[in-house]
Amino acid sequence: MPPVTETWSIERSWMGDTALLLRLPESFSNASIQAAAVLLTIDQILRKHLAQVPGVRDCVLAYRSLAIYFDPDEISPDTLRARVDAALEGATAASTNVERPDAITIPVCYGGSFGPDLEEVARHAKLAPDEVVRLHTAGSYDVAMIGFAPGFPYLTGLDPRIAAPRKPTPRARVEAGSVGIAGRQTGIYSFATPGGWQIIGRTPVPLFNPARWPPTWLEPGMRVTFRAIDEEEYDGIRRAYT
Amino acid sequence: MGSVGRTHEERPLAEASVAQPGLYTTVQDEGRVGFMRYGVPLGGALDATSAALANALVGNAPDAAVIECTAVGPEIDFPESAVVAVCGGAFALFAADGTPLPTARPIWLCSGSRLRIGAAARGYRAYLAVNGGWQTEKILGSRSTLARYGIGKPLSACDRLVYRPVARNRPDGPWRAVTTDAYVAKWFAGAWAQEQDGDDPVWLRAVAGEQASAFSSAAKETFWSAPFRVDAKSDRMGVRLLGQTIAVPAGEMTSEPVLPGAVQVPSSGEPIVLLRECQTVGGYPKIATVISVDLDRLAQVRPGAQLRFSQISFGDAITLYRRHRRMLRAWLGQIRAHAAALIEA
Repeated sequence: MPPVTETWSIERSWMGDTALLLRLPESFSNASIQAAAVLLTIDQILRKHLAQVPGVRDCVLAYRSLAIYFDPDEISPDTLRARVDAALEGATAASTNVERPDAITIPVCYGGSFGPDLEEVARHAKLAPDEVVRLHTAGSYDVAMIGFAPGFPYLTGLDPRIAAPRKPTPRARVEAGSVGIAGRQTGIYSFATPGGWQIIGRTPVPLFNPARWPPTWLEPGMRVTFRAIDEEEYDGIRRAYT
Repeated sequence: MGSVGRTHEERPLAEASVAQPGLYTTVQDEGRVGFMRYGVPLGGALDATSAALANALVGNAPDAAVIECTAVGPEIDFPESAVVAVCGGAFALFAADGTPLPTARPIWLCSGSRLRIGAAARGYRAYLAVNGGWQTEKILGSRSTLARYGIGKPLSACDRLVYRPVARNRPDGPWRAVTTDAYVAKWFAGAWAQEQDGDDPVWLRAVAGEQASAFSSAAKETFWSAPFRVDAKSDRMGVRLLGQTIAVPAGEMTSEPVLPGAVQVPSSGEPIVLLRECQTVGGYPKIATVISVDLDRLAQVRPGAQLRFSQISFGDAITLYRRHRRMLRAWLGQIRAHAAALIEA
């Protein structure tokens, strides 16, 4: 079987003077699950092979790309690139069968004050709000990347029938735990921040806790499903975390 | 970590108290390395070189926590003796009785001293290091304040900051008495301080960004040839630029990892140069990335200052990086040894 670098024609380029960026070609459609699986494989291989390499600092996954941060004083760019190539050399398409933990179920209280945009998403989809909730909870999602804020998961796998454009004017404040839709992505605000996603519900479970290891509830590669809860259950779970 | 004294860890702790917090004052160290994959910004002292020099001047390793001052510094009371140093922009520094104190030198404060860091005449940030380092809680391996995400807060009046007092109240060695309560070493970390003196415009060297080829040649021409002005809305996440608008490539791009120094161009066309507290992924096209060595200088630009960019190759950026690190290592080693000898004498 050919190595993954060849199979997926991964581009390599320098990002600034302290990172190597690996990118999948444009032919990987945006937010595709397949791209996520490929990147996850690369991430696991690199983490295994580069963990003990001096000067390698971090590895950040995004939808179609992955960055390896390094200190050029401790490892030369040429050496780093050679180490990355060597690590990926042995990987084949079969390596994408990485071990994945069981899906995590995220409780969400949909609509009302927790999901002020549920009706708007329903109107856009020409569906009843309950049907939007049914489709959102029926789906199985992949954590494609963590970003924007600590612990904020970008999830792929949204049913295209409930995809919705971002709000024309972002909200000045979106509460932590808010579950949103932006195009074909769904995600959860890990902190109260300004934001333009359509908010359909809220989870009482904190997504980021710096006192824990790992500090985030979700990590790239995890599978996620949603479960609808009522306000009473929301309050109960919330209390358990405070 | 971060101290030179053998008996250091056994010394009782003291609490400095914040009499005046200054404009925006935070505890910082070298940042949270290894947590970007969880969406946690690197953070840390924005002018990392000045922070490392301040630490060396008081005998600390580069990873000790320092206090980052912005534009106007704090007033801090030291109930027990301490060796401190302030490095970075040209900030005014005073003892309790108003006597000016020098920056970029170790200062021995006797018990009950007050240190006042005034306004910056040049530059924008300065670092206050104390022998032994500021002993705030480590979260995710770092003492860096990340106020936006609930990790620490900017200092406010009456805050307490733990440090380890130095064993004796005053030096008997060759220190220069400035007032009754402060003694100042004669030597200083001058080379860097002088290098930091304000140029106008400030030139930043940068390599081509990840989406550079998607920008029109007119957009690139503007970016690399025209001066920008620093927006007052800039913060520890990024320096916002005004004065020129850069035409943004059509179409949406997929979010990618980003790093400090990246020059993002949002749809407004007004670039944002990311600093060390930036997010870990971003969806705006990047026309350039400021080289690591120039991030210290970028951290010192004041609102309203003029900025210009000059393009260099990746290879040159790496050479400059290594040269800077080599020079810094040599400076830090010498300064730290000198400081340790004074403090332990």
